[in-house]
Amino acid sequence: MKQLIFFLMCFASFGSKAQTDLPLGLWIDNAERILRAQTSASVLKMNINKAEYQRDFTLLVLTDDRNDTQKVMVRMLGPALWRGNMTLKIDDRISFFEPRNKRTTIMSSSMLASSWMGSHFSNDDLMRETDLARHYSYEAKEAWQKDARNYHLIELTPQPSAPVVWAKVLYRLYIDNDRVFPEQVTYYRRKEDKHPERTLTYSEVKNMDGMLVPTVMEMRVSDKPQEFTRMHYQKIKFNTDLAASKFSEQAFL
Amino acid sequence: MIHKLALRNLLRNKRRSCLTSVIIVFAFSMMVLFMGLSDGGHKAMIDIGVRMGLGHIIVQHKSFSDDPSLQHLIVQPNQLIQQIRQNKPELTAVSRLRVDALIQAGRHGVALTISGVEPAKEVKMSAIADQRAITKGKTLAEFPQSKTFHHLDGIVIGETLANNLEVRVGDTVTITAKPASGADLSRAAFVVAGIFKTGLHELDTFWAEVPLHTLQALLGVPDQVSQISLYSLETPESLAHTTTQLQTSFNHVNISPWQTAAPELYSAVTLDAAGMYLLMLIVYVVVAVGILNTVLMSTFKRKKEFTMMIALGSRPSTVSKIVLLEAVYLSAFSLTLGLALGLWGHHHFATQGLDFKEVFGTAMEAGGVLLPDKFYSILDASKLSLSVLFVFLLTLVVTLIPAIRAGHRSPLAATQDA
Repeated sequence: MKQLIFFLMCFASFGSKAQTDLPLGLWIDNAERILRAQTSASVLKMNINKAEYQRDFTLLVLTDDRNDTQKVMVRMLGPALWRGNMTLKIDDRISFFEPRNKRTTIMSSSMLASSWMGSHFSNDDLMRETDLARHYSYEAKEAWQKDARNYHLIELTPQPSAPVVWAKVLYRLYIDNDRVFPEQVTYYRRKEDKHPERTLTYSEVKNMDGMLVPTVMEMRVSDKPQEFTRMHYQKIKFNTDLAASKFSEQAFL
Repeated sequence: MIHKLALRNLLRNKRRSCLTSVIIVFAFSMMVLFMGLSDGGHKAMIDIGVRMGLGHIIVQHKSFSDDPSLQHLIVQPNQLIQQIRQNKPELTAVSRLRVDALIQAGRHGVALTISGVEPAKEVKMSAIADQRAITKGKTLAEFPQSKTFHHLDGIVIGETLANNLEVRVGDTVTITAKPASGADLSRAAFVVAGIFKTGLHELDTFWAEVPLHTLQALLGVPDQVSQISLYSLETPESLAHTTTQLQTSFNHVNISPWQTAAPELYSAVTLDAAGMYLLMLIVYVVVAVGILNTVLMSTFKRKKEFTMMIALGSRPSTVSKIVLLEAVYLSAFSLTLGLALGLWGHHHFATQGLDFKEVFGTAMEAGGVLLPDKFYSILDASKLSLSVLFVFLLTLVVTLIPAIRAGHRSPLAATQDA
């Protein structure tokens, strides 16, 4: 159903932005999915750098987008204190598993805004309720060429009654060999704001499992310039046949 | 004759009579003043309390107080309101739907209580987001309601919440809540229509109001509300009677007075009233001891006088009556003066009000209610006359024993003592 809505939105955006003739919605969707493909299994290091503390996690992330229900499973591999902690997201439902007391917590609405494992990503970012491809309309702001690549800056504006918190999102992406790569996403609190509230940057494009993908994602908030959360992909396997049982609460035990 | 004697006796020792009189006048006038201010304060607390999202009478689903979930809502509230108003046309009814939710703006999010209200009715009855409480922007009633798909509904939020979320009037916020079906979370966007300040931390930080129909749609509970608040101009006694009457007529819902619906406010008022009664008791004791002291001293000092009267042929009861009458005149005079002084003070505070902020430098919160900066003295005539009567009787009781003893002294023993 979500995909159907997405395609309808894409068609709508093609219609409304016919003068640009650019499939902006499709590009953004492709860029958002670059690290996921149909299914993906990845190991990544997450480095949280806050004024109060520094944390390093090693995570195993499994994703499955083969049907309408988006599934994501995050298992913590290290450090030892956190080993076995899991987060499971099936569509809009998130549950957390704590192995020491074998307790599963289903996320409530009040937990949405809290950060995921103390990082600069919120549970809401994991939920992807504020789906960029679904709730926003697109406008090509700028296009340029650099290093034989076509760069585009796209401004995303929320649909009139979309339930989203960002009044403006600037998406910078480039197209290389017909593939869309995200480079920077800046989130603005208000439409007229000059400075973004937070910035997500993709970098270090490397070959993983036969595909070129950005391997570093970094989130920074503007009012604390020294702080960031960086996710560094170590290994990724795309389009493997992941069993449905991996994405159930039975997999916690 | 004995009246004349009693009055003469009082005037003979002017200093003693005056001192006793001053004690009674001062104590009684203070008591009248405090009684008025305390009752006025309680009334202000209750008035503010019921206007802060409560109501004089609250109608809820039978199980709502035990489990305030979306499964326990009142269905078709308007029908029920119509029936209630047929029984009691003097009551004003307001429907509200409340739920815990998450408000988000940018990367900030706060868990809070969201109240779905009927803006046009709410603005008249509630003090949370009325014209006076709104510091920036508009009330929900003034904000244009969403008529088309391309227009967001308004939301009013507390001042501290607005600071925490870093939002201002005109910004967009989202509300996320778990709908009645218990399935995935529902989310809707709102435009900040206004920012209110009540002075109460809980409301200013964790409270927001949106139009009722929007919240009903978000939660998937069409034509259902958490509570119907009834507002009345009746006295507390007749309010209790109305509540009982309504509960008998509509036994499928739970109808409770504000005392049950807001026990913390009720306890605060009761506790304060208990403190006042304790103060009154102390005043009574002071008055009683003052009079007892004077009467005892005067009877001791006038032993010779009394025995002389008895020796000259007065009956013991005459002597007792004279002593008793002295106390009656003294207390009657002092009470009248005290009452006049107290009423004068009451009149001042009833018309000018007591400026709480001026006296204590800060606003005061009690029972989850912020007392108004100024409150006005209120005196209950029956309570006042009862106090006068009580002090008067107390004087008589206290004087009784010394008076009887004064009349039963033997002239022989008195001369031997001398």
